Amino acid sequence: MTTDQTIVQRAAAGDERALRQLWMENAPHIDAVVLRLCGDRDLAADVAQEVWIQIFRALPSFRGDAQFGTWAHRIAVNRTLNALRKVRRIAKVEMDVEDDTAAAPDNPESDTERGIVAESIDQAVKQLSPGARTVFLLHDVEGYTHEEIAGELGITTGGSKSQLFKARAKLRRLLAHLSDGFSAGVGQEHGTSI
Amino acid sequence: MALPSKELSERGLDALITREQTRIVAPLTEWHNLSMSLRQEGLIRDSAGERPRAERTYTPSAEPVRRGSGWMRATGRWTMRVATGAALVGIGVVAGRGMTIGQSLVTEFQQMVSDSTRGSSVHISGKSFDSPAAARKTLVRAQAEYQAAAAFLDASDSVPQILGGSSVYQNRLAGLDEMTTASLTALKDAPHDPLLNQYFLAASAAREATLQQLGNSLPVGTTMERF
Repeated sequence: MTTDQTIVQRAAAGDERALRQLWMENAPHIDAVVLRLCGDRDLAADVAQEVWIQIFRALPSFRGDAQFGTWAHRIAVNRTLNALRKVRRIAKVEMDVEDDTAAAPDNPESDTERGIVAESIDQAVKQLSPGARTVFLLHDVEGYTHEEIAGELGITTGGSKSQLFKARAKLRRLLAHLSDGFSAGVGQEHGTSI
Repeated sequence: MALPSKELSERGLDALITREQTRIVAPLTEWHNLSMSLRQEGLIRDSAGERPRAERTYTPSAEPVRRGSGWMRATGRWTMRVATGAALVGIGVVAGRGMTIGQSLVTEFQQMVSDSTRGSSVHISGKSFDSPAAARKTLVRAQAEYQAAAAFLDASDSVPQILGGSSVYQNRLAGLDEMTTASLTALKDAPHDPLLNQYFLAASAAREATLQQLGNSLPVGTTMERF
């Protein structure tokens, strides 16, 4: 039996020390996922509390097929998206996705982008529409497939791919000033995996 | 002169994404609040865990604290992830050992930290950081050295016994409480600042470690009531 499983068994039995150990070891990563998806620290703090309760509530179903962190990560993403739906943010995302897929090509010189120089990818992501932002984070950062994203958000895989393409294009423009730092290796660019 | 690019390359964006994937943050919740909810849900059962020293009762005169035992492995892993912060918190640890190490080391360390903030290329003990990758590599090595040194000092430190046992850890805990609170306050204004996050994580980890030391130093028949 792995260490993960031993600790999880104790935690599932209600051992506070085991529960706290799981939280301490995984909160920096799990809470980062929650914060990324929420984009707002106050909201993320509320959601993180719900996420951890849900993770601990689901402990008896942990079979040890994956590492605890990987298993908890899935719950965190799912629970966060559910929480965002509750505050009607996902509803807007879904509407944005449908609108965007039928809309005219992204205007690279839009008012939103003009004058915004993001200092980090975190700041740049906040400039994306909610739909593009969620799809980008789930696919490129959290490693979800387009099929999984489509299932989570209730959109088509084509819509997911389209959102990702637009998101990456906009991020590259918003982060253009960082080009110098990544000049090495230019010429070996690869396309978006959509 | 080359004109600035209008777009970041795909490769550059992928590099930023990779960095984002490994980003960690200070926990968004506090265990105290989370544990209360877990108790209400019935997910924490007080009879489930082993509770050593439960028979002991202890009320510190200044700041009462609650026992926190069995967390060294977890806090150790946190400390591994926050080397810079741990080293900075080390200022406080070193200062606490001023009787044996001396104030000059504190001053020297503060000067090193000050130097490191002046430019993109800095020299500390002959090391030069000309790129983020080089700095990160040094950070990983430094954290391993810091942990080894801290473990050695903990094992060989006689100061707490000389000064009366738990009072040294109580004073250290009070200082770390202030550092934790200060860094948490700063994080509210700049939640994504990596340096502030490292400070907070390191202060939290050091606080947990101090709680463990304090718990071990208490006389038989005593227990901490709050932390």
